[in-house]
Amino acid sequence: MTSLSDQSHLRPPWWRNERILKVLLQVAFVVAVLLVFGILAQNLLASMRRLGISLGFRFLGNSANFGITEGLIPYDPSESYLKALAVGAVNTLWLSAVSIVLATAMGFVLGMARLSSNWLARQLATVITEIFRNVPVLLIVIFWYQGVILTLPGVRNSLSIGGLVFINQRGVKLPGLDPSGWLVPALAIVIAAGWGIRKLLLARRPELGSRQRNLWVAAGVALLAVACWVLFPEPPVRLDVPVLERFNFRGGIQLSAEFTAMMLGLVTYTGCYIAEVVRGSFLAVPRGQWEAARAVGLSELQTFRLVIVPQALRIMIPSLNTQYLTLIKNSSLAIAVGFSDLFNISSTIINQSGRSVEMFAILMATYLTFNLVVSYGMNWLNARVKLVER
Amino acid sequence: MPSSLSSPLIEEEKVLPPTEKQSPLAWVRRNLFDSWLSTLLTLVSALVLAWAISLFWNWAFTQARWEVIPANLKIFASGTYPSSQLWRVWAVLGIVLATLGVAGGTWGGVLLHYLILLGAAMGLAAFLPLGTQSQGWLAVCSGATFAAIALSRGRESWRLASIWVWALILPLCLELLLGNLGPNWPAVRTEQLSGLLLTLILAAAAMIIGFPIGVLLALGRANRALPVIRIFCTLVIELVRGVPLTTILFAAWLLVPFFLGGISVNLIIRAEVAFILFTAVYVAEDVRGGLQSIPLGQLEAARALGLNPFQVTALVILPQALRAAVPALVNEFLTLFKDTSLVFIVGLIDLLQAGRVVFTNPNWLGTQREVLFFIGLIYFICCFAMAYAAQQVEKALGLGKR
Repeated sequence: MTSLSDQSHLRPPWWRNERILKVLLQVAFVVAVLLVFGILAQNLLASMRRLGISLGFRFLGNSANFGITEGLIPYDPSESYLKALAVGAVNTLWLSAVSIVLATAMGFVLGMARLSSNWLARQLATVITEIFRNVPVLLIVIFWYQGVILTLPGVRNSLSIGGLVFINQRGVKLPGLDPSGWLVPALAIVIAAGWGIRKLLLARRPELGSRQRNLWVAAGVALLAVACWVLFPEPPVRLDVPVLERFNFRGGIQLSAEFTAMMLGLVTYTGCYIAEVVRGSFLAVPRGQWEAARAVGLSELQTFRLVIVPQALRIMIPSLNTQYLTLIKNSSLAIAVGFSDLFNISSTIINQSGRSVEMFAILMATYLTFNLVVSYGMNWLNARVKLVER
Repeated sequence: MPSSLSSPLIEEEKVLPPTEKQSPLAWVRRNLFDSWLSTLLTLVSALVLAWAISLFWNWAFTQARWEVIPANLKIFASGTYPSSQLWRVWAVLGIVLATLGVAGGTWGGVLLHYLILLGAAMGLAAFLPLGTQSQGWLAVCSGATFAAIALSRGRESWRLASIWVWALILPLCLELLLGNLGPNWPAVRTEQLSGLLLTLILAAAAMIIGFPIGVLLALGRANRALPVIRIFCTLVIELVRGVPLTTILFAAWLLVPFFLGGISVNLIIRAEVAFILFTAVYVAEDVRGGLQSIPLGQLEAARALGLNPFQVTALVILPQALRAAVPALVNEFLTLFKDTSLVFIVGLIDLLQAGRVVFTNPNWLGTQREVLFFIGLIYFICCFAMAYAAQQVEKALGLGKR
């Protein structure tokens, strides 16, 4: 028993005991945070009372009463705020999706060019990346909008690419695809045929390599597709080429000037960042891998396709994820050129209804959701390609 | 020969493979027309280059109205700052340059080179026809830079003082820029701070204040012993990082007044707080990366030496973590510098907005390309200079070498 009391002498007093101090520190922290938030909440409620408004999301059902210049889903000013927000969210997603695809393509081309053994291509790609990376994205967007697109010729004098694509002050007109009632049966026939040919080949000609088999399937499918086109009373899909009428083009897909400017801005800016990611990832693959692959007897192209790319992709994906998230967040700059994205429409709603607290909560929740979804997708991809260790 | 190879004193040249001398023609063949793919690439690149250059040349020398730039230099530089008070901006510039000159003189390195370049450029600009007042001030600023460099050159004992003196200089500059200095020199409203001046103030303040907050957030997030603080820091970082800066600025503009209970806070300060918060969380993530790169053994060794947790962090962990995070931090600061252009959301006029003001002016309609080109050039030079300086610092720290 004496030894125990001796030990209690050795133990530090409670105010110097690390374990107790940690608990005390955290309790103090929580109290401080709660206090600050309590005061802020109190202030918020007091200000709202003074202005005679109460918190709540009921206002979302009210009629919006403002027009939206463009949207993928139909919308009428008499519809609710909620519907207007949905139009904005879809616009943001559409803008982001198109930009992400194009920026990735541009990033790969530029990044590979910077690694190429060709001196001119390398220097050109370096200059392009350095220019766009060192300038604000807002400036790039404004430059595309006010410096390029708005200075293009008017509708009547549109620049035309092969009579299919028309570019003018109001944006870009692309040929669209116009499906007819025969599309579904045609697709069904083609898919069934492809599946059937593959089965047949597997059963009758098992000695064929997978590449030859795929060639046979592709040839059969192509032949049937052409047959559908010719034999059906109406072609399953028709190319819808825009035609100039008195005031504007009819038919085709219209990309508005605002959308085009935003897209070009986001693509050129993010594309250059992606180029750096691509370059860094390929440089991060050890040189020994090239040498080993050559020693095994793979050709240059095979080495690249089978050895280098899979490893570089693995390094690339987390950084690409960051770039995509940044791009989605940068799409909120659309307010600078007047494209009706989520942020732009939200700011209109705040101006109209004065519901800044609720709208801010909605905005935050929506952007966080977008981020989570993209991150989840990229993490899934990452898990699929990453190195499997013990 | 074998004996010389085994000697530890082999000169480096002897170990490196011999460099082949090649004729220009061989160089061209090797670097431009190596294979059919390379030839194609060369042709495509050459076409793109020729097209871009001819387009730019044609515009710059036949269509562009470059006179818009010199005519509006004041608006780009200081926006709506009252013209009668411009001397204050010049004086602040002179003080900042002189203080920087002292630092450059004692520390040397890339800062010194930049200051010499800047001083020389200002000295040359003093001979341009910009009006006697501007020319005089340019000469003063250039002289102050060089005088400070000359005074402090080689005085290593001034090194620490050249950093601490900023604590004195910064409030002085703010007072000089905005304060009431007597009947003839009234206070300047903060809304009148604009143009490049505003861009620089926003970026500098966000970096200086956001950086330590970011380090604290990172330490909080990496702290395993205090779960409550870790969760709080993680939540703040993830929430702010998941939202566009535009939204945060919007909140600072419209939402913050609700929470302040009737106290009115200046709009620039509210925007600045948004930038600080934004910088802090991104810095926190970069520092976290640096913290993760430090082996646990460092921490254990430091504890074994008897350092307390605070000493372990301040003396062992942080210096190494920050060193490892330098490249990422520089990227963050570059992004921040460019992102200050988003203040248009809250209606402030920074460099880019000043440019938009200029080209929407009826006298200068149709000059948007010239103005945007000029502004882009300013941003480019600033960012490029920062990136280059960071490379030099990385080299000096020996990053990536060990």
